[in-house]
Amino acid sequence: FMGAFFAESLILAETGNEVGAIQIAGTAMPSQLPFFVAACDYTLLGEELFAASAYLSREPRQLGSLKGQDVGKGLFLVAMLIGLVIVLVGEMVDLPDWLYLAQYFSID
Amino acid sequence: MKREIPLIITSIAGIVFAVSFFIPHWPFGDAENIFGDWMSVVSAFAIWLGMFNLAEVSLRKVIRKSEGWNYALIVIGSMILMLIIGFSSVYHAINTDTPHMDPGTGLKWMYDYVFAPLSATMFAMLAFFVASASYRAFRARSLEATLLLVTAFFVMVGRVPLLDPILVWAGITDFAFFSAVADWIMTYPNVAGQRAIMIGIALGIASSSLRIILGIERSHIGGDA
Repeated sequence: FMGAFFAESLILAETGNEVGAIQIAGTAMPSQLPFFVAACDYTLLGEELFAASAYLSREPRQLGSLKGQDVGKGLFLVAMLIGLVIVLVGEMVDLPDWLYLAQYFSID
Repeated sequence: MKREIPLIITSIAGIVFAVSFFIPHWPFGDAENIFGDWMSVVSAFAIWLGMFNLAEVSLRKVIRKSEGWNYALIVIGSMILMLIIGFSSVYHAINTDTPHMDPGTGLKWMYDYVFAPLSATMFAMLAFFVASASYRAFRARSLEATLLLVTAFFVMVGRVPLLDPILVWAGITDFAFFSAVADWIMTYPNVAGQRAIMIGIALGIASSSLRIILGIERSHIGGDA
């Protein structure tokens, strides 16, 4: 099962499980991931669904986009950690206003 | 041209929708509305395609008297019935200038008293499927499975008004302990995990959309064409 599923995900997966089929599921709907994990043999979680075609084809350009995805995740991680440290330290000491980066992204 | 035209259409549509998100003004905003209308029309045709495919598969089952052919006959019969009632309701609506799903129309009656109860019945089975899936999944086979089992125990017990009143009545606790634990699990670790997955999904969507718009991935036009 690959794609967007809603409440029917568990009905489909359990029916396949009852007949003894090997099932592989992949969805970007976080609310349905637990049902697929419980009922299917293998599950592609979120971004793994989008990376599957690049992973299977092994085409260099598609693999390059996966690398870019990973770099993007790394950048988000670093930005979140920096923001976390700033907020935590800001609760304890008075930091200069220019350090609060959120003000630069608001439209007020 | 058999490969290039779909790729060009995909690229233009993808670029227009992406740019119109940042520049909603003319011409991208208007182009987005026009493309959105075209998408609705194409989706309607796709539903017809699915319906014809289902009818063909069911008809083949009935003709060959394959296993479950009687259910296929019900599918065909109900499809035809719904089509007749739907088209007659729309015809009546056009002639009387009223909405086709007004109370009193055949389509509304079929929806309220046939389709909606059948859908509710279908999804009511989910409760039992959840029980059977949980029974299979919650086994202490590994560290992760044990963690899942313990977490699921606290959330399930916390969501049911069973143990908390007993503990309070027995004087063991003076507040709803399991509910508090379940709320904490759903508010902090669960949300953190969901947000992490959503960040990955957002990046995955951006990456795969870029691959499709640039024509690097061509699975949507039939494999590695």
